[in-house]
Amino acid sequence: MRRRYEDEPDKQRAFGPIAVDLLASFWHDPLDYDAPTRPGRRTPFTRALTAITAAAIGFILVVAYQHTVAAAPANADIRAQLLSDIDAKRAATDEQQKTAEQLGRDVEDLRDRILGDSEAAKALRDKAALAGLAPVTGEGVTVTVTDGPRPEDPDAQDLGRVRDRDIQTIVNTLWSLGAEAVAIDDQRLTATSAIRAAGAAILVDFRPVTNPYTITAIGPADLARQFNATGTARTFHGYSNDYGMGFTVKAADDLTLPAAPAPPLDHAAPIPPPGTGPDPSTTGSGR
Amino acid sequence: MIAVIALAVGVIAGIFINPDVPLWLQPYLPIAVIAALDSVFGGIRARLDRKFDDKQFVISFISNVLIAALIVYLGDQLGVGSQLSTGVVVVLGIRIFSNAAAIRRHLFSA
Repeated sequence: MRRRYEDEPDKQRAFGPIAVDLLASFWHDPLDYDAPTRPGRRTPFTRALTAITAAAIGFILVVAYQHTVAAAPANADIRAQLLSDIDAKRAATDEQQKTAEQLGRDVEDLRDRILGDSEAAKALRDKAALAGLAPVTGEGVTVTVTDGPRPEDPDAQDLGRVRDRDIQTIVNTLWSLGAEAVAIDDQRLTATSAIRAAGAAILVDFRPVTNPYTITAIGPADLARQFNATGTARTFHGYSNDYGMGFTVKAADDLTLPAAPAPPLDHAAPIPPPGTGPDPSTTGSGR
Repeated sequence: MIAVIALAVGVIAGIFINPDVPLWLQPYLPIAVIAALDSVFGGIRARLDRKFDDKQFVISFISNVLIAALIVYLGDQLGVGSQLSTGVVVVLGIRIFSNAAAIRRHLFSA
């Protein structure tokens, strides 16, 4: 085979480094097809061997083809099946969530009707509001943080981007200053709320919130002034100057924060109040 | 000519028998395909070079398949099966291309 390239001397030129030469020699001398210059004698036996080998090659090609073709629709089927399963479960969950919320509202209506305007009803409403299970209104502060401009170099670190930790810091500072209700992008926080990151997205209670991030808090009248005096506010003003992150703090007079969805009680069971039986029907009629 | 007929016979047999590939053999299937294609192109090239030799054709096919399978098997045992499969595919792929180039030169003088 080498002879062929001696006719074309430019093809035999070394490319340079040894590694490249190795590739070049692969290309020009295809490994072992340095066939004997004088083919061996062909006997019926060797012809039969060739025929068997050729048949085996054809067999392998077809088997591989059929195997691949057979595997493809099966994979696609499984994938489609999973997708529809996920959609169905998600729809069922949404439906049940709606039912749960409706039932919760029914319970509250009935409770209000039975209790009327008594002291106990007021205490109950206050507790629900504090726990985040009822909408609340009042004066407080609105803190808005926005992502800074993206760096032009796509590989550079995006330092102006708002992270879950930034939101956590602001929320914790607001709680520490006496905020009684906090919401992020109209998602009320409860005692069990989590602010987390999943990839680039920020999740509050597993629901994504998006840029710009608006954190509203109801608390003491001078919450905005107090917040501006904290180290957190100073830090974010610094981020704003250094990385172009947006950061505004505004006092607000009439904020309304929505209720959070009731968290599921998976493991714990409430202790029944003294004097009531464990049976829910007796609890209802006892009141 | 016999080889071409035999190839067709093998294809037809594969279509009609349609065997189930056992699970342990499946990682070797792509390698076997590449080795088979390599043998086909090598054979055609040797034929056009008037150098076709039955013994070499048979032995090179069998040895290529065995060595490729051995490399993949070793790779599987060492945990680098996919990388070594890639290596085998690259080397045999280069051979297929250079053989195809030689065939092209023969048939179209280009």
